[in-house]
Amino acid sequence: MALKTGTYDISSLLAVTTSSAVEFGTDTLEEVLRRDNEAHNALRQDLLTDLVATTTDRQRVQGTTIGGDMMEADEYSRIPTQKDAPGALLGFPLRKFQFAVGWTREWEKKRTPRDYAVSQLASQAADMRRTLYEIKKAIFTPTNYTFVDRLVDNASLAVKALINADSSAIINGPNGETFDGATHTHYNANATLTAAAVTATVTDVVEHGYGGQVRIYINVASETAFRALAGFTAYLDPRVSLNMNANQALQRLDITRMDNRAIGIFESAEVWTKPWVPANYLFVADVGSADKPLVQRIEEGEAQGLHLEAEIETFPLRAQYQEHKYGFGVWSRLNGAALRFDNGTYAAPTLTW
Amino acid sequence: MADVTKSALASMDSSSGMFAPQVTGNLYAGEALAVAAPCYIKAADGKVYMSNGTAVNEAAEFDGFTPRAYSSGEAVALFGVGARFRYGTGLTPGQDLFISATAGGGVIGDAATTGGTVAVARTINSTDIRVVRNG
Repeated sequence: MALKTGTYDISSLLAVTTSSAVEFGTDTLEEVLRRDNEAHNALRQDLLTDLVATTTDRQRVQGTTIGGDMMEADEYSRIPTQKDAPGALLGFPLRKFQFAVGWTREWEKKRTPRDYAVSQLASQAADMRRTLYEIKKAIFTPTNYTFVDRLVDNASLAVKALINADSSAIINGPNGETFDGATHTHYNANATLTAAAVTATVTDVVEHGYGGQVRIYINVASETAFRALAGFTAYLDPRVSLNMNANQALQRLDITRMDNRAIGIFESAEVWTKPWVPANYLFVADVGSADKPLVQRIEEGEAQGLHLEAEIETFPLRAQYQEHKYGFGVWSRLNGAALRFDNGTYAAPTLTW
Repeated sequence: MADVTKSALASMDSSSGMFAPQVTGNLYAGEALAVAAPCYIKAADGKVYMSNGTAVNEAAEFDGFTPRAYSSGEAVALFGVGARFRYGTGLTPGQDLFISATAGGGVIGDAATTGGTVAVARTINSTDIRVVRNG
């Protein structure tokens, strides 16, 4: 979204129909808006629940399997000792985001609580958009990178993508399956949307033991094409009666929100439309697992969530700065897989907020 | 030379505006002034008029940008170096902007004019400009 630089002055006031903010009581106003920010932060956290765990950790060790083989021996044998590579460190970024509002003293004296609330709502909406952008970037960018922790101590942290053939050691599957870290990737691509491509992407997640509550997230623009795939069973509109002579999904379709709902089942994975999934991409994860695909790193001891961080007054201008510190990084590199289905080669989508 | 189309939502940024030098105090508009318009203070009456780069004359002088629109006769404040403004859309970052020769004045463009030979502002992204001169 384009930057909306500007200062509130008399010409910016909404129609004055109630008392000014000064008469209402600035302290009361700020208390109301503080509680409103708390409600916004709770709502934002609720949105993250399926895919994101929150932590103050800067980095964690990714677990791996102690490998090796049982070797047949005879009465003379003393076989060689074996050793496996330890798990790799996964770093999580921490970034600072600000939203500033400025005004003149005259505007402040004349503004109503509604004027104040408009700027508050703008900051909350911006916070939500930026959050979704950062999540998309963490999920759909297929490359690892080094993050310099400039807000803490300039330490270099290794931030990883989902497993991406970077030669990392990969934990064995639940049935003893082994995976070659040099070739195994969860970033898939196909020239078109096909059942086989979707199945392969789901398998990428399930074969690592993540199969309790698998979901496929798609953009609403892909819904029609997805519904046409072999293996898809649709949830039916509640306004339509079930056919007693056919096997149909028991769950009904949510008709209140077309771009954020479960639409059916594809080979035991539930398919959801989500507004944050880029067009021609999909994402698969087991949302029931305690190993979430992403973590949100926050800073210990800091004021959490979107909050008023600072004010500067240089008469006749005043500015308030709302701030939110967080960062998203991949945690469970195996509990997540992406598919691009408009090109045979995977590349990160063009993202905006 | 092309004039930069100004957005109807043009406005000054408070963060930079509160630290930018300003000219004000018993300073009045000699004509209606547009928001985010380059202006000069006329020697004959001490009032503020919108700059125009048609010729090398007083009208091509520059004393600051207006933070809002003013009616003729209103008290005015002009902002100088460092003040940032939302100005337009689709701007090319890093482009010098000059006082335009468009009739009516108060317009900036992407090339020097007869009177406007020194840049008064510079684009910093696709929507915003920053004042780079005090006069």
